[in-house]
Amino acid sequence: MKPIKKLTVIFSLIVLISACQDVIEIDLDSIDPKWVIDATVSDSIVVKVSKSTDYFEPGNYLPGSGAVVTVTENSGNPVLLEETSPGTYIINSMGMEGVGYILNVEIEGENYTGSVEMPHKVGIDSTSTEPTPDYMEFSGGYLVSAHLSDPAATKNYYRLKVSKMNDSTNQEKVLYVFDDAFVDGNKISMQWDNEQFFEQDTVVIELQTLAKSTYDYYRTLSSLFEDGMIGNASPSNPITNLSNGALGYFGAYTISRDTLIISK
Amino acid sequence: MKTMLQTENKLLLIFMLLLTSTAPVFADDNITISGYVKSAETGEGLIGSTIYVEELKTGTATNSYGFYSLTIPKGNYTVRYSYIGYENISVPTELLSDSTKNIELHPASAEMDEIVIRSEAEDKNIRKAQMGVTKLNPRETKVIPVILGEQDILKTIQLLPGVSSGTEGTTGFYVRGGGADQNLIILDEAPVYSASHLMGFFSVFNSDAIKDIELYKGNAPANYGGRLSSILDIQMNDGNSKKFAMSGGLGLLSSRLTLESPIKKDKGSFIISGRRSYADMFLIFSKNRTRQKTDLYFYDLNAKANYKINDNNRIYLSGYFGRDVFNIEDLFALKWGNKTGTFRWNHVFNNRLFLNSSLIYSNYDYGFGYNFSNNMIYIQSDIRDLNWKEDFQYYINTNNTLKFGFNAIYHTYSPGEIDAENNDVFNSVFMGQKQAFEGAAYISHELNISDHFNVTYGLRYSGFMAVGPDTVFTYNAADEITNTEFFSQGDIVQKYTALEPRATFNFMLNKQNSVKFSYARNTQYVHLLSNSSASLPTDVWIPSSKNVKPEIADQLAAGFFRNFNKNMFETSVEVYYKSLKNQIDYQNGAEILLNKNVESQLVFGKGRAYGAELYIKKRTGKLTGWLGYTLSRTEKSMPAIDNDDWFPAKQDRTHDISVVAMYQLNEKWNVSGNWVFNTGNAVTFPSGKYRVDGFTVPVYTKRNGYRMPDYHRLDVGATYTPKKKRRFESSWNFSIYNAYGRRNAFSITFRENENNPAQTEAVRLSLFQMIPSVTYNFKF
Repeated sequence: MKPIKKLTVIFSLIVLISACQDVIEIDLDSIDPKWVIDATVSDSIVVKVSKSTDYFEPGNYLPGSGAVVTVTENSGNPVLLEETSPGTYIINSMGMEGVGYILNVEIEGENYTGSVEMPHKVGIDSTSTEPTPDYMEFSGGYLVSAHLSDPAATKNYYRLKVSKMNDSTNQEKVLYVFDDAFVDGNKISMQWDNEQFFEQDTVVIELQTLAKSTYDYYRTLSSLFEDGMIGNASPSNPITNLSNGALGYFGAYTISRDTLIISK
Repeated sequence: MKTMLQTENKLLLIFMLLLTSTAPVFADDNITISGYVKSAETGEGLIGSTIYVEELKTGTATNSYGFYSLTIPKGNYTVRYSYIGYENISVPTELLSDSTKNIELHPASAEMDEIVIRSEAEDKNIRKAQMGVTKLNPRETKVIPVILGEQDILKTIQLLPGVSSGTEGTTGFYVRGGGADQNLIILDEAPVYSASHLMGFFSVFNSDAIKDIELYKGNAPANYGGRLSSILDIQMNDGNSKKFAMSGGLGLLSSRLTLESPIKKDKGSFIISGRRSYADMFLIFSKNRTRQKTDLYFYDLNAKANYKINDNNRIYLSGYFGRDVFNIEDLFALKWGNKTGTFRWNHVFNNRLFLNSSLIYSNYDYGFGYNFSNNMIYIQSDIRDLNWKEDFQYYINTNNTLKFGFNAIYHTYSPGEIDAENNDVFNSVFMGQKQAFEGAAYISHELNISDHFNVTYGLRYSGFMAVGPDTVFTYNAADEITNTEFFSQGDIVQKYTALEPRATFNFMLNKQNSVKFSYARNTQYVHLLSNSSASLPTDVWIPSSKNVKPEIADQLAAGFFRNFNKNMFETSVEVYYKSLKNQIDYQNGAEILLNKNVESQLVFGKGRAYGAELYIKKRTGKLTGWLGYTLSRTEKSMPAIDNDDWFPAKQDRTHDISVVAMYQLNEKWNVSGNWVFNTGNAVTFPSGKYRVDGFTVPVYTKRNGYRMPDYHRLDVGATYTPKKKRRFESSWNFSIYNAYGRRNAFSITFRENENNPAQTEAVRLSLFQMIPSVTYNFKF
């Protein structure tokens, strides 16, 4: 649970009353590019390998082609992933709940590994809409909520993704994750208050249950975004489960999806 | 442990030897003169007023209750009593036996500019051994321009060398590189845990209620302790014991009203001073409905009463209540505030032995509610202190003053509690309460060895004991709990003790020049966890525990002090080196708020700070003010961060300059200005970036490896004081904050360009540019 998010956002609001923002030039150091591994186990196993760049470079991330990428299920044999496009390695095998996976990426003579256990799935019980309340910064539309039943006595980690169907302009900007620390075993309603939808919109609601390490990566990543204009006092790299100084993460999550057409 | 005890014992032994070797010789023909020095106008005790015996060229000063005691040989003398801003009194006195002399001084008459009045106390900086100390009187600084015209002692303190400000416009301050939580702020002896209102833009100290402020930059005498970097000792006004008086002010942000009156003339008095902001009134005009439904205000109430039972006994009762309220209907609620109460009893055993006994209560709490998916949840947290203090002052003779005493604090911490009543989504959570005793005994000796050499040295023995009920976790490197210990009521969970020696040596080269050296050790048993660059009221205080050791600082300082032109100019250069142990920081990705295992999120290491401070003050004349310059470095080293390399602390600033000038144009107009410049704070910026799951992720290489842009700002002000009409005095204060509109960076954040997300950019947020204000003050 992340109450601090709203606190800082609202404080930012107050500060804004007399504030102004502008884009400035600053000098940042150049760093040696590092390998980035964006690997997930869910409906299939997808591993994307690329290189980091300097911060102010345009975002052309060199794909890591020609890597040897394997995934090992529990204590089985390593399975080789196929490179379907430069830097993207895929195997169409569904992640199994409770099963441990080990990733190995070998590129340019270096080995990077990580392991993760597929979490147990928690599905969406139902969805609902309500008119956007007065206190939001936007108005006139509807907010969407997902309802779920958190399993008692286990730690669960979630990510909620809500978007308008077939809306390619809507770049993914919001990373919304939460855990059951204060809501363990309860029926939980999660409202997506990052954007509103309008009548006739078809909205896709996706609830992911995350592995602990995946949650930690997302949580620490989202904290870099959410401190808003006040800024985090000591930002740091997201917590990764990869070895050998690789950037990125080896994540595992289950997916539960629902669609909803907004009506009055 | 054994070796540590042995060193402690050795230290004690050396100290006892020192003390006995300098024990005074009592001459039979000595007599003692003692009493109180007060203002004839208000009856307030004058703190630090000087009592000087012309014939002997010796003297003393009043303590924080206005009491003095002077032991000298029998004889006929002229005793001069003086205090800044008051007319001197010289009393021819035939001293044959012990006697009591209570003196009232009159404020300098209106025609004479108060700052022109010179007193013997003006060369105190040369004569006294104490160094790294600044005394401020709210009256002296009231014309310094401040943001929104809201007079603030903490903002004045930020203009002193060795003290740097927190983020733009806020009252947070750092002393000689120490963290914000390493300052002990005491109001009538009661610790104030969160000294800020409204996100830190204003301090909780209403200048109308404040009599005297002293800031010790890490070499406080042994009677103070508990924080590494500084002690800010604030005394509230006692109230007018001569006549009823009322004063107040109207500002853009808040209004103030103070009432004071005798309870019984010259016997007792009380004062009540209140302040409330009304910024939220403006929100009604906002078009945004959310802002219309927003409460945003703070208030302060200071109250104090004192009563003189007889010549030897006086009691004081003082309290402070302050609160901030920030509510947005259905969305968010935040309330926080301090409550303090102090009962004091001054007892004069005999004309050389003075005792103050205090019972102090201090409380800080916050409540924080927010809408979580359409459910409001509330989080409560508080700290309570009960404190008993006994402070003796023994005026042996003009060359020896002994201070000794003890205090015992019982701390109660409730780090957080979720109240989920009437809420079926949230489970109630109780983070557990922690209790601890903190105690200290001290002795401090002010010794004049010769006319040219004096020394103040002392020893403080402090201890901290966490007591049950408590549950203590042990963590491994992966932050997993490896062991859980349960303690029941009365069990000792953890105990720490520390010896804190202090000494200051003063060599007076002549009447205008002196050289001083000092050493002090301080131990701190409570720690503030804050992970935002703004000071949020929800920052968490935690006590020392099995996992969190007390912080320790050793500070060495040397200084050269010189006064010019009959003390018109006061100058000094001080250098310091501070070494810090058991410093606390966060591991990457730490979760602080409402985390039962918050101690597993911390990393520990050492710190060091060193620097030089230059101070030039012009005290008298039409133009007054000062220039302060600090050159410094503050670094930390933690095994868990950047491989134990030294990295700059957030508050590290290479250069820090403050210029304060006040000019009395004529009887009615006073103009003032201050200019500040400092090197930008150390910050962590990204050096690289990569893309994962549709997000652009920054890559950080070094903690605090970058700098914010240099900060500078000019504030100007003017005060118009119309002629006093009978008893009615008033003044208008006009000011402009950031007069040349410098866009100082409050923060620099990084984001994707809106039109071209592949391109990332740095965004500067700047807060206040050319903010005008007007304040009206009155008094009758």
